[in-house]
Amino acid sequence: MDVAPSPVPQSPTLEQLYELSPTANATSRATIAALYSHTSAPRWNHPAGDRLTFEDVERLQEFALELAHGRGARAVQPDEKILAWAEKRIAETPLFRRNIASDFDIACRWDELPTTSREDVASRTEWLVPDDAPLERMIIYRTAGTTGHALLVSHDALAVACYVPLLNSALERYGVDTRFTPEDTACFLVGSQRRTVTYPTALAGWNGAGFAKLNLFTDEWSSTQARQDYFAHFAPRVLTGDPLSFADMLEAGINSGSKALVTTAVAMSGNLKQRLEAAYDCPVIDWYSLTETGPLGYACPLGHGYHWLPHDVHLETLDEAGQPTTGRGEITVTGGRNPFIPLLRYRTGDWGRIDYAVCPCGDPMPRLIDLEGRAPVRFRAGGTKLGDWISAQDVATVLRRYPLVQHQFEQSHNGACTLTYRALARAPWSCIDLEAELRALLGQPVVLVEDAELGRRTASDKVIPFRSKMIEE
Amino acid sequence: MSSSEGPLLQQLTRRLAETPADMLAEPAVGNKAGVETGSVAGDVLRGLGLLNPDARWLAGLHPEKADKNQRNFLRVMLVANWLLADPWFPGKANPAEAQNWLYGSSIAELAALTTADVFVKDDDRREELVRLCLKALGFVPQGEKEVQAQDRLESISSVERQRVVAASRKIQDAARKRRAEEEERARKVREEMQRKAAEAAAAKGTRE
Repeated sequence: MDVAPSPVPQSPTLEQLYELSPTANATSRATIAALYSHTSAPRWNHPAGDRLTFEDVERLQEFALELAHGRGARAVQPDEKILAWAEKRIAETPLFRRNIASDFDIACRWDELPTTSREDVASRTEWLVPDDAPLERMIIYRTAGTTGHALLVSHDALAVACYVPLLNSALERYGVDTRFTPEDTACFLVGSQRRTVTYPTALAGWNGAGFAKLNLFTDEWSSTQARQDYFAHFAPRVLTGDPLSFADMLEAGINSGSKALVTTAVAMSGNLKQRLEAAYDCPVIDWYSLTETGPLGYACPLGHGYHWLPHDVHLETLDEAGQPTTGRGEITVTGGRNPFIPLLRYRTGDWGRIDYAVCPCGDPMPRLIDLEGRAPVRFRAGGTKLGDWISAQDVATVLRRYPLVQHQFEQSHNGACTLTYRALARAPWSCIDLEAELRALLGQPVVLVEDAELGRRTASDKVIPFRSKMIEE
Repeated sequence: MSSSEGPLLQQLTRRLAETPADMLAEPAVGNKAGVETGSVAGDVLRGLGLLNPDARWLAGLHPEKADKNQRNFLRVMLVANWLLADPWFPGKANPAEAQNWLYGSSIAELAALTTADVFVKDDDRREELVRLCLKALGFVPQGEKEVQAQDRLESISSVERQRVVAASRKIQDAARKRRAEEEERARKVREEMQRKAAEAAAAKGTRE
């Protein structure tokens, strides 16, 4: 596949924002307008909304009900619903039809069913799209993820909207009220990067309440005071983000009176979690979610691992040889809602074990234990210990523009940076341009090393995508 | 080995055409209820006078797991047993040879090519099964010479070969068509992904 162009940054108009939230009523629109044009608002750079139709909203409500009633104890083997789903997807999906005999008995031979991985999404994604998937609904997300594969992930607005009921389910376990009115500000998604998309909108999943994706990076705001005022004025009930962004928020003294912080994307240290809980006087909920799979788990309120969250996926763990294990193994997912990527024994690249024992917190779903999360990574610009922090997401933003199947970006003890990559075959691109972009971002040269076998030397394809030995010291 | 005169061919082909539905039902596999193929074969062989049918083989006719092909083999086995249960055979057929026919590769080869139902519904396949059975037991159909019987069986088999070739060609054509359709669909998906990658995605409440 050729290099896919990224959306061009553009300051959205209110009309665009309304159009992208087709079910927003007058009150929701007023909420969007308030978020958009507040005197302390940052510079918005991206038009976005939930894109749901009224029919989608009905289906979303059905999903929320199914989630509420469908969570319960699970077995090691998939249940009838998952088996029926898998059988249908195998028949409809070109990649599965090629790899799995039409009379393969998945109920009897589940453990022999071939697995899939990020490699399939990165290199063969068009063969993963089922015959009956509605292409006109397709939307695209970009991710680097835990295994260093640069991915374009096909998705669907309704499947994405299902994140909200899943998030609500976790919030409710922490006693957070998830009933919203269209006048409320439900959530701010907080980032802290040189460049990331920002927009205000309202989400039908939260009854049309306000939502904004924000960047704490100071260039986005008229002043640091304006940044603080914006958070204080809208007081979103929930903040979602990653540990580094929340750490920056804490350092900047921003407070919004939120009832919960949901931290995603990378593992959070116990120390930072305690500091955040103390400073904001609310629970800090660790969240396990991948772009390809959607949310999979949330941290148990009593600290007993991560509870398996969605009712409509099956989780299992596979050892290095790809065999099911009751011990620690690669977390492997079947099921879900994305019509463009049917997850059939999808190996996530993350490792842990599943505990089926009853949890004292009262959540009946099994738990992921010893989950090997993604460590937060930042780099020092200029290769010196006094250089500015550059986040891994900023480097990922540059890398996404190039057809790299998998990559490993590393800053050594002495500050030198090396990018090892495996590029997509036959895709035209310039490594000189890539080096120039990375040099501009990091203020120092970057050594580029092509490795056609990157990620292929281990059974799991796993590569650590970002690593800083300067930080690890 | 010279062959003895057997029953009228039509007597046995009619018997196959009238195979009861019970004998065409799904065989028992693992915990799933169904026709017990081993019990049926054991009864038929004992009815022919075999004192101790091969117990291990009979037990193997109730497998723990069976895919579609294995289930068809069991169903063809049931049809063959129904044929051997014709009243003409007791006292005339050698029961050990009857067991050898069922036990050998003949039934498996037939089942690999043809579904059990066809040995009941199709004239040529009924005749083929009857002739194979009589040949295995050392008989020729009543009114036929040995050479005639052999020629007719080969003729039936060549029909079968042609059928297999035609069926194979049909499958290959269908597979080619399907591959072409898949290629076209993959092209459309790639184009759509390129186009949509340049557009805004939907708002997502959390990071990943």
